[in-house]
Amino acid sequence: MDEFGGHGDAWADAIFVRPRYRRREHTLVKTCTQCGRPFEGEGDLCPRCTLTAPRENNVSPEETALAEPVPPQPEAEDPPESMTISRRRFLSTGLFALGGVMGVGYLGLALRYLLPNTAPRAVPPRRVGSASSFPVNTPVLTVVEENGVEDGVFVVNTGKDFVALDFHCPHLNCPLNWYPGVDGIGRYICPCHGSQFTVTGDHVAGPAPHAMWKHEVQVKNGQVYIGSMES
Amino acid sequence: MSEQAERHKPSSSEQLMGFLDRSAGVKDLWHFLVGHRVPRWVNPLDFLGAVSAFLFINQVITGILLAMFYDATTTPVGGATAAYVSIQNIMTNVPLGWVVRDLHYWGANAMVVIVFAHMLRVFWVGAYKKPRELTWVVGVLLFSLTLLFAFTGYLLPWDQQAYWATMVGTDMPSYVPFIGNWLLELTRGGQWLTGVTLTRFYALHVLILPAALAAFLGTHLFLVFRHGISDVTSAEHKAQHDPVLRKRLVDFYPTTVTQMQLTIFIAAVVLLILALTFRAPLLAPADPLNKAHYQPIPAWYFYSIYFLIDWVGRSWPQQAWFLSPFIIIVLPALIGGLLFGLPWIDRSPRTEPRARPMFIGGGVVGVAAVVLLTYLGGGLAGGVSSAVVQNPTFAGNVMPVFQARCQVCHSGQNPSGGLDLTSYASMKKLGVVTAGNPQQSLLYLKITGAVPPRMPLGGPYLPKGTVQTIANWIKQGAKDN
Repeated sequence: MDEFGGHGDAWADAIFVRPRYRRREHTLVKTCTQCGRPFEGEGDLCPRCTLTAPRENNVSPEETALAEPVPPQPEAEDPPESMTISRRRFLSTGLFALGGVMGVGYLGLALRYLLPNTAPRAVPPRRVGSASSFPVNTPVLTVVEENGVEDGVFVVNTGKDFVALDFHCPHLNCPLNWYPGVDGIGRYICPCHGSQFTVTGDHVAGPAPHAMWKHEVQVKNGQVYIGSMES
Repeated sequence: MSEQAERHKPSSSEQLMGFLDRSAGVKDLWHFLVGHRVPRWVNPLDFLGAVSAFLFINQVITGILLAMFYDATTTPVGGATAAYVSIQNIMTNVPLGWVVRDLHYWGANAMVVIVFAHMLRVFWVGAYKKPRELTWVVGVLLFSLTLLFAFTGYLLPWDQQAYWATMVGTDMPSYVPFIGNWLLELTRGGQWLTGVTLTRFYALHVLILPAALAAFLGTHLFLVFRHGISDVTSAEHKAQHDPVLRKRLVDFYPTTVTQMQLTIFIAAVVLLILALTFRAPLLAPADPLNKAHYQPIPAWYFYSIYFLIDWVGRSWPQQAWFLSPFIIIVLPALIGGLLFGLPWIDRSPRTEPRARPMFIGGGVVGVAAVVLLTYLGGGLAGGVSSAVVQNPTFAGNVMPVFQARCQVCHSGQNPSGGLDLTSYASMKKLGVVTAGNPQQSLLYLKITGAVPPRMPLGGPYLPKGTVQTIANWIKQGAKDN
């Protein structure tokens, strides 16, 4: 005990381990008294031998002094080594198991909470104009709303039918621009990384992995309707 | 009471210190932190970590102030969103709001640079080696967190730049095998970038990341103090057996701490000058339909990846679909693995740069590559190649510029100003080019701004190199080659 009736800086020793003293000790290379390997550190045994050594070699003098004297157990009553589990081992395993269960629980809760509901929600087809208002092979950028989110969709009259193409590039979702006059008809070109697509959305060049995403499209009574994105 | 006894009565500050020491052991803590001696002259580069910590504190202070006025929602407010309008408010109405935002903006950029420089310094002196492996690993984690901070903060103003850069950035995880789509939806909170994403990024930026960074910074500092600065430690060791050297050691506190504080002060002044001189940008409000045909560009610290994706796309357009995921996923994973594993890859105990030419050489090549790619990506951010071409051709060098930067308006049924830039013939119709003389070519005068309004209208304007390339093409006869 120190003059204040406490343990002085003993706890600081325990937490910070006095790095400066520690480090100088570490620089001393000692020889293990058991296996003869060189090692740095405290004690007479190298870390490997310390781990494998019988328990009493591990106990510091203070610890021995503090420990309750254990009455000697009759050896014959000890169960076989493979069946025993020490109280310390049981408690520490249980501690980590309980903590782990709580951690996994919170993590699962957070992940499920953050993932959006992916249950398919039918989007009512949305009218974007009369079929005759779409000139042949000239994409028109229209807006569809899906789950409260506005999305740009190119509507193309191919002359035979209608195609609705999502205006996000399938590479990294940049907004595609339509350039008429390339290759006679024109192409969608990505302003970010140069992917190119034909008027009906087929991949021509660039890093996009596949064709442009399509939306459902219907023509009823001369009117064009656009639905949700096809997956 | 005699005068003698009164002199021995502890002053109130001594009493306070005594109390703190009894209850919290502050003397030991103080001794642990600063009670060592170091060489008189410490390399200022050893203070880069301290400057990084200062920049983090700057981010915390200015970030808390910004949070008092920022509104992380996408509620429509007159053609913009609440988030965008609240930033405008901070910049124009809140007293000194612009200074706070600029300090936060420049502090963020500086933090990326300084933390990276700190890593380079540690790499150069081999300070990541045994027993400091964990310090290095936590440091790499801190660098990753810094980049995540920058990425999540980028979205918050909800302008065009923020929206589209984040649209691209958040789509990158979708290339991770098996769980890609799951990661994408987890990041965005849906299929596309919406108000849900903004709220999510805001929570990350102001709650999760600061807590994580503070925790890892605490660990990092504890480890630094536990092991000491590596070259200081070696100097101390030499001094143990050398009385002359030992005399040259000075107390860490206050001598070295004062030098450190001076360095931090200089950094703060530089930061303030940057913040007062250059405004943090705020572009047009985010438009998810991109009606104005904005060209998305990433933040400068992602220019290297930006350039690589563009480069493979242009060099191998048919193979780009599988080369691109390689750059987006495999390359960053490899670099991350190398950085985290460095202390176990470079196992030799020697720390002097000359004693490990392989690693120093590899590091120099790697850093040079990152710097070069960042530079090239910066040229691309203008949307076109910024390299000057001496003998340009129309198809190879001029038309790509038209396609990337001009045809948005100058094409179609009613091209702007009647000028159609989709082919050589349509361009010649209006006589905007006088062969051999750029100074009499309206095209050249418009892209330089000699005849206002400067093109491309509203910017960003063409890089100098690109303008020079077009001038060279006009000088050489403006041929259809």
